[in-house]
Amino acid sequence: MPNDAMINRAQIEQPVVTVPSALPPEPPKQPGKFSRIFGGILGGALNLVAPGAGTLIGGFINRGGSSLDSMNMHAMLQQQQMHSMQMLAIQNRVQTQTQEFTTVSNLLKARHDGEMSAVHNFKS
Amino acid sequence: MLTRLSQVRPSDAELRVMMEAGFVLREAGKFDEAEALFRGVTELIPESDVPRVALGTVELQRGRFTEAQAACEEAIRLRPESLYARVHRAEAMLFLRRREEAEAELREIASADPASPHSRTARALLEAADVICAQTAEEGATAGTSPAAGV
Repeated sequence: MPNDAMINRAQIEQPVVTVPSALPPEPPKQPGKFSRIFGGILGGALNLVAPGAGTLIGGFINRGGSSLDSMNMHAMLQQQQMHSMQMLAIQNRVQTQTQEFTTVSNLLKARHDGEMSAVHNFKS
Repeated sequence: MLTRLSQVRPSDAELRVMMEAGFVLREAGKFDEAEALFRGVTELIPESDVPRVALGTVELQRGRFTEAQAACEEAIRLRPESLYARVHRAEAMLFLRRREEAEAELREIASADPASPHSRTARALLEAADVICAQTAEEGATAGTSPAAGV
């Protein structure tokens, strides 16, 4: 039964106990200088290869890469991939249409040249 | 009127101007006027294949491919070696979805005299055969069985 897993998981899960502490909460992890510089350079370089992806990856390295960032990045990369696929499909269509246009244009020119040749060569 | 017409002897230059005017009218979509002009030239030089093929090209652009083929057949009857007539007959056949016959004829024309402009038209038609056949099939599917109008 599909509901069994849900029921079992609820039974297995233990309540979360928070232990009070006198220590101040830890500040979020800050990226190092190297990460900031390296992230900037890598992001810029990747932007040349894959626009958008470079900014994502560079930003991820800059921020030190928490799990939330990783999830966001994963979603954004998926979106980026989807856009790339759409872009490829559009490029394909444009390429096919350009090819067809060239073929028809060649035909029209050849036909016109043939007609002009026929007209210029005929004798009454 | 016929007596007077038979007495008219236009020069080659005048005939060329008439033919070119016919092509301009055809390209402007004035098919009736182009047809009238080409029929007139046919009367003036009944032994020539050129105005008959021109009539065929008007029919091609109207989308009347059977009539276009008939006009080209008539031109071939007058001048069997006319590549101009043969290439446009093959074009009509292509639009009539007789692709195999048309392609065989076009290949023959293309190899007959590779330098001729009609051979170039034949090669261009062979290259465009896929586009033409796809268009005729698509339009045939949407509008019954009649093939599409000329490219």
